[in-house]
Amino acid sequence: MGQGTEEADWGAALAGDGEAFGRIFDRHRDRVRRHGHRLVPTPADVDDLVAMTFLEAWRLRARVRVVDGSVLPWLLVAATNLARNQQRAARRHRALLAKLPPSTTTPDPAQRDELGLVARLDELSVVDRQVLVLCIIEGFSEREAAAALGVPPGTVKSRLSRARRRLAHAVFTEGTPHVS
Amino acid sequence: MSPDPVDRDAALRRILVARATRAPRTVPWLAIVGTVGVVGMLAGLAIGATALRGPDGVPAVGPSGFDLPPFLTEDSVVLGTPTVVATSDAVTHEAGKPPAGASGLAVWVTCEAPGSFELELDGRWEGGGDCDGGAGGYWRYERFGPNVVRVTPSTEQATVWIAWVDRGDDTTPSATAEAALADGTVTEEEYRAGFDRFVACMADWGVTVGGGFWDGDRISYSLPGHVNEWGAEHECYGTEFRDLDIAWQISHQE
Repeated sequence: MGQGTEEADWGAALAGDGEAFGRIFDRHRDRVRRHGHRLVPTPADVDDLVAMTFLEAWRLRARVRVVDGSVLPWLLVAATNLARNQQRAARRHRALLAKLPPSTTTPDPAQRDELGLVARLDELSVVDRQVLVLCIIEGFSEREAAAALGVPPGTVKSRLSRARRRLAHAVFTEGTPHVS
Repeated sequence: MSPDPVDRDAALRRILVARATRAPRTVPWLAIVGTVGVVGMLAGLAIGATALRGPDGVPAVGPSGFDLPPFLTEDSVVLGTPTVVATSDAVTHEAGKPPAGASGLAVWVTCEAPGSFELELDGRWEGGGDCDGGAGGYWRYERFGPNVVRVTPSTEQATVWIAWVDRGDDTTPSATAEAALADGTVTEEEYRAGFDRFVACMADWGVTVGGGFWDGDRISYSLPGHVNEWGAEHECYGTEFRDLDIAWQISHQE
């Protein structure tokens, strides 16, 4: 799969090497798809979300941040943002999505939202949701999340603390965690 | 065992590779006008593929095509044939009624020597800047206005490129904003409500809109410098306030 580092591939893609962007897709499509299973309800939505995430990565390539040699954190945050407004984002890419073969993905039971965390994401602001996805759901460090989001580490820490408080309040005041 | 969506992934991969592969994107010429003091309505002028000459006598751009302005994304589609004007004086172009699918007007100004330009749309000043490296932008068309573009360069030789475009990444007004615009007028109540929705949308992105006070006949506000991260302003302004803001300001300009 790889030809050199991911960071080198990203640089080559920006310089016009399309195949290098293809290798970025090869590296991260499955991880983005697994994340997508947590975010949107149907397998077809998951496949569209994967497509839109990589299309947005290219469209917004000037804003993409490479964290420790990887664009994965940026992709995961982008997928989270896109899932929030999937219908609107799908309109942007409707012509291209219509060209793709039908989805054959099936639900992934391994990605069940056991704690109901993902189902609660809509209750958080965008910025809180981003740090929660990176640090709690995907396991990145606060430093990595800060680099991916372009904010100081202290900001990630405070947002994470706030998101945890809000989620804990939402989950435990109702008594039963919501499972999607 | 779930089927592997390899065919879809393979198709998507081919598209991504094609998008990222650098290829020149060009559009044909339509109107190329002489370089001396052209002022007036240029719509409909079609002088053909006359090569534009730079100061050194070498064609500044080839007659067979014109690179798209760099601010247009890959998703953008140029509708119709752009108007290209070579000038040393102010030019006025009546773009007329937007074609179906148009989301805005793109204007790009390049200068052969260091200089600047100013741009007006339907008589209101929109901006300006240095043009020796090329400058311009993308303007939402005024649905109630004639869409007259006036570019005033302060340089001996400038080329002005104007086209209707369907910008793929453009935002569309929310249903609430569309409802407020539907009757062709924007009331103060609708204008203020649109601003409130814009502020609420930005807050959801974690951005605090500053100011927000009534300044004569319009709302004055400010945004922090990092606001464009993740497209917060693009989405919130575009969906909730942009068209209302434009319509209100035009109907209340001096």
